[in-house]
Amino acid sequence: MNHPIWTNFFRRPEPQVAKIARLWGDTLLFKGISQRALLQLAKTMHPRRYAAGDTVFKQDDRGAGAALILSGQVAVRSGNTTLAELSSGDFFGEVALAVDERRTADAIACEDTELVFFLRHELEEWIEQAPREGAQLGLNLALILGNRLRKANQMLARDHSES
Amino acid sequence: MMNTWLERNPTLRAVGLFTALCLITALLAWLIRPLILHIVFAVSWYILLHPVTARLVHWGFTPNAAVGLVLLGLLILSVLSGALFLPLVLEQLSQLQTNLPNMLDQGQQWLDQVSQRFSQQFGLPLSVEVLSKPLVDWASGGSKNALLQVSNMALTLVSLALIVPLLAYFLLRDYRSLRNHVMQWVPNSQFELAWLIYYRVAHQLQDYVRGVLVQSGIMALITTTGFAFFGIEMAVLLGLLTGLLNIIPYLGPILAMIPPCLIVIGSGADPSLALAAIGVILFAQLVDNTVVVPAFIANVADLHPLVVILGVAIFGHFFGFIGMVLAIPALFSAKILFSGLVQGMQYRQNPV
Repeated sequence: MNHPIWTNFFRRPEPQVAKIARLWGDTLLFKGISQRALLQLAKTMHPRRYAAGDTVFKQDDRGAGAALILSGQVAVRSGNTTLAELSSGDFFGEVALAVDERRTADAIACEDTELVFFLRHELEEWIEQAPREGAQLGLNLALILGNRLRKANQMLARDHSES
Repeated sequence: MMNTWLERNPTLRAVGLFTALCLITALLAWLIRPLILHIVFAVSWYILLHPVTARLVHWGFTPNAAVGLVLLGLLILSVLSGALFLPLVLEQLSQLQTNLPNMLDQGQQWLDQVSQRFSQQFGLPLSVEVLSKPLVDWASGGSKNALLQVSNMALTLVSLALIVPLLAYFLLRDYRSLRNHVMQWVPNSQFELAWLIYYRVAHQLQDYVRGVLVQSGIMALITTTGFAFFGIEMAVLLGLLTGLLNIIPYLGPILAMIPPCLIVIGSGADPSLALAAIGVILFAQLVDNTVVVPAFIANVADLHPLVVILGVAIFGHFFGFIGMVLAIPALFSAKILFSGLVQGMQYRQNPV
């Protein structure tokens, strides 16, 4: 036995932590963040399971953080329009990492899905402990939100010119 | 039918959930009441020390090593400060024990004089016994049972010294994992809401505990210096007591005025020194309200004064001194929990 028995009660299986760290590491959000920091953060994240058809969150819910898809598929919808269909390795709800705002769309599991949540308060605590890497993650987040804004503007401009 | 009705009434659902959570918490508090003091101390240690252990873990220490190192540092600090201040405090305690009968006699004489003057001034008889009997009974009973009380106190101190560091060690090392596992039981639909409420409560509790500890330390320092300046006996003991009582809002500072007055009157010193002692406490309160509270604990416990006074009285009735200390954090946590549940459930029901 590697660890005393009392240390094993709440220990998350290491392969899952490694998988969470690897999948987040492949995203733009964690570009430039060290593997050690990623592994430390992955240990604090929150895995959740959803059955096909379950709502992950609804538009106007208060968001606590972003979610990464470990397995399965999630549809992001606004009303009857499907904005995106996301699968393993994709993440969504990242606006809640930056601000305490309401969700801007619904997220629904299309099949049995496993997600892992990265909460805003944990990001804030991590920034206090590692300001340099925290600043890098902040820049990455700004880039992601900026890209999304640019796309939204392009869509609006296209709709405007078509009408 | 009942389920449909409940589903249509989010406020009622929030009230139901809040009541259930309060009942569970009250039951837990009742079950662990012999250990409540230990848990309060251990949680305070956790709140103070967690930022240090988290920083050490970030620098590459294992959680065990980080927690061990921090607790070892605290132990060394406690031994050093104990070696400096404990002999003084013990000496003053023993002085208090020796002088208590004499102090009571002096106090009785002072009360007799007050009674005579009252009768002369207003022509009304004032029964001294009514005022002094409860105090004399308490003190003489106390001195009779002094050995038992000292034994109980020593037992409590030993159990605190053994259990608190152990609890603090496991809290510092495992609390977050345990918390995350408990939060996994929350249904998916309320998962984010639960975390948002948790973080609001946790942050306010952390700010409150840190603020109150700083506040008590400053109050103890100011009053000890003030009592020593005016030559009041047992200045260190009285200063520590004032700092401790200051944790109880509104009532604490008033209660803190009683022991120095009793000591001054009982020791046969000039009674005007009692006014000086009250002046020292009022000055400390002035510093507290104008400097310490705005800097450390303003806006943490946003509660109506009447709610605070009633809460302190009710908690004090059920849980004694520790209940008075816990009243404010319990009340503001309940307030955040209730408003968070109502808001969260209403938004789910009627989105913006």
